Amino acid sequence: MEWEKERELTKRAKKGDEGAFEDLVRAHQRKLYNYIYRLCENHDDAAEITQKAFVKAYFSLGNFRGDSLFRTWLFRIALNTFRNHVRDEGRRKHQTLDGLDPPAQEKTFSMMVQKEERKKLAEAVQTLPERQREAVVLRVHEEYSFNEVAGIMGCSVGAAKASYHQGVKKLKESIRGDE
Amino acid sequence: MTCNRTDITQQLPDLLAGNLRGEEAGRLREHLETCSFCAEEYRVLSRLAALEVPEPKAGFFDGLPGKVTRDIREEKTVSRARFRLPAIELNWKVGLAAASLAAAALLVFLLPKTEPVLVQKPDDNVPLISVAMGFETNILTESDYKISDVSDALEFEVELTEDDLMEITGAFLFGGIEYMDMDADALLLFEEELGSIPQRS
Repeated sequence: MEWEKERELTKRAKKGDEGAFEDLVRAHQRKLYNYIYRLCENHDDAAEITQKAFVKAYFSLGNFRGDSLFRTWLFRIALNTFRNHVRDEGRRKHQTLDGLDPPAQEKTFSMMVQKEERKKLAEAVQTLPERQREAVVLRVHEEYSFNEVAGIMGCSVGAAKASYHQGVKKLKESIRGDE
Repeated sequence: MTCNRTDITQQLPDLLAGNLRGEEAGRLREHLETCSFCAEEYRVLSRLAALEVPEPKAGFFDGLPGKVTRDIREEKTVSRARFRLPAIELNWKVGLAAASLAAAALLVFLLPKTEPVLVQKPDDNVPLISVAMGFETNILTESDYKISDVSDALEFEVELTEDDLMEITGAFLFGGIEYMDMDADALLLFEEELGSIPQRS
């Protein structure tokens, strides 16, 4: 979405225009869902958190000053929502990776190999401590700079870099162990 | 096997995403040819980046904007209801707590809004704010976090018991809230909420 259009929509949404906010949701929902999914690897949780994050964002619009991208601001809210969700529900401890499958699909051999590969990698990511996982996902998948990662995670740039490096180091060890 | 070129490793995700061009990309690629440590890291990152998120259930994205709007409307209704709270019996403890809370809020109000208000936490044993007020405890309990979205933190679920009030007041006066940066809107809401406390008797 163009920056100008987004700014206009944000302005209208701030004044209570629900239609404008729905347009913002449409523009960012897939990115946000994918981001949360990578953090929790569970559709139901990702869907719930995405929805909650948008609602929180709506009621926080008064605090959005536009000095960062709307998406970056939204991701910060979503990350807080995710952290609260994990804490409140205690779901992380109980969740399994069995819910990873996309909707029913043809199980060819190559797909099964891909699925196995995906599962292993996803498991490796999920075993990372929360902060390390957040830093890796934001840096590698969402392509944020370390400054932006720090802004979203609410920590210093140094802490974001440290979390990222620790996370990548553990992933390397974990993947090396599988090979 | 290790490599101390953090300038390289920190940029590997950018190289992977195709965000580096020309000389910069060439410099990194050259390094990857001679450094097995970084080459391995690049391979791991490549595999990671290739992980696709499975498509959610059919219709999820079509339905989400409507669901969000529905939740927003519900929340607005609930918020209005919350501000008409049932009266709670005032006694000296509640009175003291409300007065202290109002004093603390006045302090917050008087300080410049652009500067975070710093309340020093005297020691680690001070109980932190309860969730009763909708504060996101994970923000408040970690020293490296600031409240960036106050409305996030203040959801005004103020069905307060006397104990809640005491705890919140204590957190304001004696520590627990380490940084507070309120913008005008959030402050106004907060003041309204504080103002409603003495009227509940």
